[in-house]
Amino acid sequence: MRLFYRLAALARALVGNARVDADLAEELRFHVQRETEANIARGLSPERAYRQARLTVGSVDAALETARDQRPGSLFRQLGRDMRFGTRLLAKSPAFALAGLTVVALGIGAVAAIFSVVYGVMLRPLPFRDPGRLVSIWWSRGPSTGLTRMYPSAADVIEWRQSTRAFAGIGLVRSSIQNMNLVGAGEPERVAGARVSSNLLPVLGVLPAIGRVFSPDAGQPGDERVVILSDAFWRRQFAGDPSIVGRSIQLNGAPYAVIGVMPPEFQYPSRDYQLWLPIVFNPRELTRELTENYAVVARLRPGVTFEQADAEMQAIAKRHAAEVHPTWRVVLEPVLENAVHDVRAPLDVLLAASFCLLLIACLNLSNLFGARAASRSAEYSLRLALGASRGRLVAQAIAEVVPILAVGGALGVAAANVGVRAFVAASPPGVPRLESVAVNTPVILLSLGMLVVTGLIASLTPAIQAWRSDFTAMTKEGGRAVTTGRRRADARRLGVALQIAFAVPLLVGACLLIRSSLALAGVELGFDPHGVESFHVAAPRSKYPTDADVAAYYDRLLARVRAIPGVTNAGMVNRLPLAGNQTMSIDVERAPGSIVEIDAVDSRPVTPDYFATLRIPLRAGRTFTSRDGAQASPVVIVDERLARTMWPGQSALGKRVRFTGGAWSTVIGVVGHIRATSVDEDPRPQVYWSHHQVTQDRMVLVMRGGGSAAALAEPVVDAIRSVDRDQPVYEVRGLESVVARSLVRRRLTTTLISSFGAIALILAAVGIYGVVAYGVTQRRREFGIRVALGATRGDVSRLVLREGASMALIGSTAGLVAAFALSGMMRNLVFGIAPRDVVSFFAATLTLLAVAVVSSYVPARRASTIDPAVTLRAE
Amino acid sequence: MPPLSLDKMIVLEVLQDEPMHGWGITERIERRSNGLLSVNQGSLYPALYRLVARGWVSSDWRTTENNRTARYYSLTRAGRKQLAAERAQWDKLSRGVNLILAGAER
Repeated sequence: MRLFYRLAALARALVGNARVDADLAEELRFHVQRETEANIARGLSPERAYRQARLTVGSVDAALETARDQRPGSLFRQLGRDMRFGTRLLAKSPAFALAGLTVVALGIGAVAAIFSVVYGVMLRPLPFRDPGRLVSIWWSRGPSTGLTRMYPSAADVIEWRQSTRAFAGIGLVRSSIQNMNLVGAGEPERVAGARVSSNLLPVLGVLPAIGRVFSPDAGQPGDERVVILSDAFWRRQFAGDPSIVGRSIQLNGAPYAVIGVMPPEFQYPSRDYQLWLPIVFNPRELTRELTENYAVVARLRPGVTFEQADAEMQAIAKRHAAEVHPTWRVVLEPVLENAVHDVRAPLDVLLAASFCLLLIACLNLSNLFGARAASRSAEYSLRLALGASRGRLVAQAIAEVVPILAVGGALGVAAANVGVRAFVAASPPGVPRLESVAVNTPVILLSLGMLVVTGLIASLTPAIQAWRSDFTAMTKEGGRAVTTGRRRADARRLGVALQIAFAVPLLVGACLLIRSSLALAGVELGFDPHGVESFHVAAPRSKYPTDADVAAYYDRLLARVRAIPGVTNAGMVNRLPLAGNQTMSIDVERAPGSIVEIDAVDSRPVTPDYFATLRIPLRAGRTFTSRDGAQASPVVIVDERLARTMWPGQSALGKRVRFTGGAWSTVIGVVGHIRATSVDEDPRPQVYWSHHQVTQDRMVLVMRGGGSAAALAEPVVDAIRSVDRDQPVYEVRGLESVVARSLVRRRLTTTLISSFGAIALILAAVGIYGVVAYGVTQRRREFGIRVALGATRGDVSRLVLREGASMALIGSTAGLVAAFALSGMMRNLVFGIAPRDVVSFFAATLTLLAVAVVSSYVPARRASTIDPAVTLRAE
Repeated sequence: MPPLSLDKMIVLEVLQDEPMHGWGITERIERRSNGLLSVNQGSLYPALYRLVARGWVSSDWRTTENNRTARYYSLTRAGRKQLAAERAQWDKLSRGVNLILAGAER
């Protein structure tokens, strides 16, 4: 109860300050009135009675003042007053305030933005029940092959389900997208579906928001055509109508029963997937005659540790690998780990870089406020002399920092919010978990924490200076002292040197990445993406049941597209270069009787004109023709790398290649090698099959137009539709943008680190300039005397330049050591250069030193123009 | 000896019968002490605010007997408890002081 009264009084005092004051005035007025009446009753004249009453009460204002200090929350009001005072002071020097705000906003903004991404991608728990108990299972062919995450097959999983005891359940997701053509009211639409095992949702521990999970028999004959919808798809396509569950929708020309709708946060395997369908196993998969790839996720049985499960799986896999693939090892990995392994390196680097930037910002701020406090030392002594306590001086020094932090921090977080949205929008598909990236509570909490730390660092110097001020400072520093207090100047120089030290690793990182980008830009792709437009299409099996139907349909499409005026070439491939992997293991007959298995080659079925369209040169032999049909003898085209390594010194033509275990195909042509996986990696040789002999439902039409291919996009889509009006055409893109997209992640990292480096450089420059220029103002007298005693102008400016250069040298030496130690982080990010690339280290250091000299040059010039007569007389 | 603030106790004491406004409190103190104690009105209001802040006294605006509005102070439960404690302390203290003074007379 008492607590309540106290809190109520505190709240009243804090919220209604003006009202409380008015209340008190009213109360005192009443008091005076009653006293006056009493005095009149005692026989005084009204006038005297009033005066007497006023005297006994004392000055109303004095009472108000005293009463105010007695009211609860006076400490807060004190702070508020200091803050208002601080804000007023800042408003009087807008340039200083602006500098402070910019520094805080940059530092906090960078950390908040990068941490949002890091948190969303790497730290935020997956939206599954108890996600720490989920593991992914892979095959590895050993680290030396680069193939450490190979998809298991259905037969593997069935075997594991029977022989392991460590798992409560093992679920599968087919690695390839199941494209579904949705035919409904509007434009035909292609929807990405995932084929999942019927137990997948229970294994993940996620239930549909509406409806049910797959029955255990889903995917068996009679229970194949069921589908679960994503929340986004359900809202977009069916306006969030819950009665859709139990109804049928048309997919690939067949009715599918909708059995459930997932909650919005369920985006699995990624946000691209809109449908979940049961896996329909091909019986040949189960006998290992045919291999489909599956991502495997398993839930540990309660009480079983990750290590126990790993040990059990290793033992089992060893046994069964001995039968199937003797050199393979099984790999278990926590699901989150597996989801983010690709992006961990760049994100770690970005996070480190953003913290570097924040530290530089802190130091910069500390120096800014330190210099300001120094310039106020006379004011401090005056206040001290007039009776202010040192505590009050410190409070006022800090009170100036707080508004800068609050506003700057808010600006920074707001900027981070904008930046993160842009980052998410600009990111390529394939950055995992981007959907969960946002400036959210953990990010804001971290930013607040960072602000507090920044505030502590930034207030340190001004607070110490306020505390140390004494009565004599007014006369000493502001007056005739020839040099600045050593300690103070040293602290500021140290601050600048540290800023430079933190800037060096940032700049080195930026140089490394920029040099990597330059190296990448010089990479020969092996094909010419300029002027090529691509269109994804998919042939539904309900309409085109056999391979021959599909191939014939695609031939008709191509004929129609080639007929468009302006189209010079048109071909098809099942997957564009640099747009994901498409690998196979093949057998190569090096000589009669000598067969070599190659674990992984890039394998693509194409139409004859594909090579001409992409300008992939034909080195030998011929390309496919219409005669290489399904009934003709199987043929293959290999790239020059395969030809060279397998048949060195001989012609590859007429040699034989096959899918491992399949029928032999004859090499009829050799084409140029291209960058098919990524621009920065080139691990595999390439083989191409005739699309009549190896037919795929999903293909990409590539078209080269005479002038501008993009302008032909619409006629091409119309042409495709004219063959089959239900054909969805999706991901219409220039091939150049496909190439660019494959580099987007790297470019984002490069851009971010480079801008951090640039900001660090600017901050360092401002820091050096500030300290050197301040030093020059403080030493005017000294310089005046020096010049009067015979120093030349050159001597004076050299003195000043040396000060800037010495800070830069000390700082960059320390920074180089740090950068050298940190260079390991860059190992996975550099291309074409070593992580300890001498050029980058050298360039970064030189840039910093140059900036240091340039920033000291202006104050040095000013120092050299000091006229001793004027300076000495003025004082 | 614990610190003791007489004004605090006296104000609480005066308020224990009925809620009163500030002027009423000064008058009541003077009357009850037969004019021996007079209140420095300049410090009365700060003292009252202190008591409000401690939660021993609550205040609200009411109409006086002759139809003016004034702020009335009344004792809270915590205030009553505090008053009892202060009284006990005062009793002890004054008894002690009396005993000492009586001994000195002898």
